[in-house]
Amino acid sequence: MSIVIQLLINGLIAGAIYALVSSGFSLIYSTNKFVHFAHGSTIAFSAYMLYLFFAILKFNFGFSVILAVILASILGLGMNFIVYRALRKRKAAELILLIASFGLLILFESLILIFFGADVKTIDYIKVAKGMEFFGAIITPLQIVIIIVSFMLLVSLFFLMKKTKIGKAMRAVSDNRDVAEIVGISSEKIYNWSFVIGSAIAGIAGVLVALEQNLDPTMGTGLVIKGFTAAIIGGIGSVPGAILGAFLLGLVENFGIWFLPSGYKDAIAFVLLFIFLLFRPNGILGKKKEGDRR
Amino acid sequence: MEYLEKRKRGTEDKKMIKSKNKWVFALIMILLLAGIITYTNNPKQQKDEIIKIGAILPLTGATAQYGESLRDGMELAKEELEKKGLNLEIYYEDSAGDPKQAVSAYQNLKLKDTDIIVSALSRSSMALVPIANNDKIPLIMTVVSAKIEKTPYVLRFYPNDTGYADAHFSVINTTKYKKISVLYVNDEFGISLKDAIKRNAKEKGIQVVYEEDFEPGTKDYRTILLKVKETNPDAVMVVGASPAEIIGPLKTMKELELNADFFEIATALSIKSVRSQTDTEGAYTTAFPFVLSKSGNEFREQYTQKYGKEPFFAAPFGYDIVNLISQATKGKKVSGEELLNNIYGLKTFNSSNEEIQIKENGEINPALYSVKIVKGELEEVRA
Repeated sequence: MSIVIQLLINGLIAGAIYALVSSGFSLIYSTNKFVHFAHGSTIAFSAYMLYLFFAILKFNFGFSVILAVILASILGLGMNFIVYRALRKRKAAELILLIASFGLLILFESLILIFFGADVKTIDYIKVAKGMEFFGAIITPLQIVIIIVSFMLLVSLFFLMKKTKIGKAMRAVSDNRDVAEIVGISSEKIYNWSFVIGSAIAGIAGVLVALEQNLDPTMGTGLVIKGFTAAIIGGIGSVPGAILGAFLLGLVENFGIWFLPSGYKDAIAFVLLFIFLLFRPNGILGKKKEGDRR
Repeated sequence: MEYLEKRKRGTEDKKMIKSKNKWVFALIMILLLAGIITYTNNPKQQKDEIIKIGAILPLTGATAQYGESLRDGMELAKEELEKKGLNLEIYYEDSAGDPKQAVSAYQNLKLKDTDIIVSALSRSSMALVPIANNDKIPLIMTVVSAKIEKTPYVLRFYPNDTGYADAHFSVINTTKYKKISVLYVNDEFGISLKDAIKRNAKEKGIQVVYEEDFEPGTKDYRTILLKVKETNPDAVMVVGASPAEIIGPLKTMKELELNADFFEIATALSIKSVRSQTDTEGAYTTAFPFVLSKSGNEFREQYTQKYGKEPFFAAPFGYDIVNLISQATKGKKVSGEELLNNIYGLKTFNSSNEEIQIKENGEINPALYSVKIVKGELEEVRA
C-alpha cells in the first residue's frame, strides 16, 4: 500500500512541476495562438537569476525569489515586444513565430552557458534532509510546497480567467481576435499581458525546479517538452486543462516506470500523447472547434 | 621603293617586338622570382607544415563542462609549446555530446586537413571510430571508457571500463557488501561500466540484486530509487555521465531514506565544486592521481594562474594529449601512420596523472583510486 501512495506522491510531485510549466505555456498559447518554446528559456533564466542573486550576490532569499520572478516576467514581455510583435507586424505566419521561439530558446541557452558556465549548480537554501512520512510514503517539505503552489496556481488561474476583466479579455481574444478588437479590446495589450503572467508563472516554476533539482543551461528544454505534452493532453489553449494534463502525465509516467524500465519514461509520456491525439484530440478540457468532424 | 620601305618598317617592327619580348620575359622572370620568394615566406605555407589537431568536444549541452575543461587544458599546452618555439594548430568543433553532431564535426575537420582528431565522451566518440579508421586519421579519445575493440588508428587516453570498476572492486569489503544495486546511464559509457561492475561483482562473490538504466539528463530519480529500495541492497553503484547524474540519485537516496552505501564510478564527486553542491558525506567515488595531488601539481598551478579556477579532472587530459602529440611529432606535419608509430615508440608518457604506459592495443590508461568522502575531503580507501 505504501508503494502505491509513494508512487502517487512521486507522480504528484512530477505533475506539479509539469503543471507550473504547462499552465504558463498554455496561457500564452491560448491568446497568441502559437507555440512559445522559448518558455523553457524563461524557466532556466529565472532559475539562474535566483542562483545569481542568492548564491553569488548573497541577497536575501525572499528578495532573490521576487527579483527572479519579476525578471522572468520582463524577459517574456521583452521577447514578445522585440521579436514576436515585430514578426506579427510583418504578417508572419504561426510557423515563423514557432521557428523564432526555437531560435530564442537556443539563444538564451547559449547565453546562460556563456555567463554561468556548464558546470552543475545547486541552490543550497533547503538542505537535503530525510523526507517526512505520510501514510508510509516519504515526501520532503519542498515537495509539499511545489504541490501546494501548483494547486494554488490552478485555482488562481481559474479565477483570473473567469472573474477578472483581463481574464475575460484574454478569453475573448483567444476565442476570436477580430471580434474582440471590434468591441474595443486591444489584442496587442492582451498578448503583452499573457506574456507577463505566463512568464511570471514560468519564473515561479524556475525557482521551484532550481530548489528541487539542479541547474543546467538546458534545463528549460526538457521541461518545456513535458509542458507542451501536458498542454496537448489537457487541451491546448485551456489553462486548467493543461494543469490537469500535467498531473495525469506525472502520474502515468511514475506508475509506468514502476512496471517498466525507467528508460521508457519518455516513451510512456508520448504513448499517452498519441492515445489522446487519436481518441480525444481536443484533450481533457479542450473545446471542439466548429467544423471538427468526428 | 614602296616595297623596300615596307620591308624596312617590318624589320624595325620585328626588332621592336623582340626588344619588347625581352622586357616582358624579364618582367615575367622578376614576378616569378618574387612569387617564389613570397610563397616560401608565406605564413600560410608555414601553416601547412605544422601539425593540425582537430578537437571534437562537447562544448554545449549537459556535458559541456568536460568539453570546456578539455579545451582549456589543450589551450594551456599550446601556449606553453609556443613559448618553446613549437607551433601547432588546434581546431575546435562542438559535438554537444551527440553522435550525429560529432560525425558532422569530424567531416568539417577533415575539410580543414587535420592530421589527428581528439574526441571526448563515449556516446559521441564511438561513432567516429570506424570513420577515422577508414580515413586513416589517428583518433585519440578521452573521457571515453566504453568497451572498444582494438582498431589500428584509434587510441584511448583515459581509463577503460575495467579500470573504472577495478578501482572500487580492488579494495571493496566483501564481508560488508553482499548485495549491490547498479544504476547506470543508458549510453555506451554506462552500459560498458555496468557490465564491468557485474563481472567484478561475480568474481568477488557479490550479488547484483537490481540493475536499471536511466536516460542521459534525467532529473527525477524518485521512482527509480524506490525500486532500488525495495531490493534492500548493501550498496548502490551509480554510473552517470555528468555530475548532475550523480548528485541527483545521491540527493534522492537521502530523501527516500535508502540506507545503503553510495558508490559513484565516474569520478564526478572527486571534484570539490561538485561534491560541495549537496551532502556527499560518506559517499565513495573514484579519483585520478592528479585530483589526489599525487602528480600534475605544476599543471594545476599554471591552470589556476591562467583561468583563475581549480582545474576540473578532464582538463589535464586535454593538456596531456596536446603534449603527447607534440612529443610524437615535434610540431611537424607527419603522416597518420608515422604519428601513430611515433606515439607507440614513446612506450611511456609522463602525464599529469603519473607516468602511463602506452600499450600496443592503443590503451593509455591512467591509474584510478577508490576514495571516500570524509568531512568533505577525499580519503583513499585501502584494502
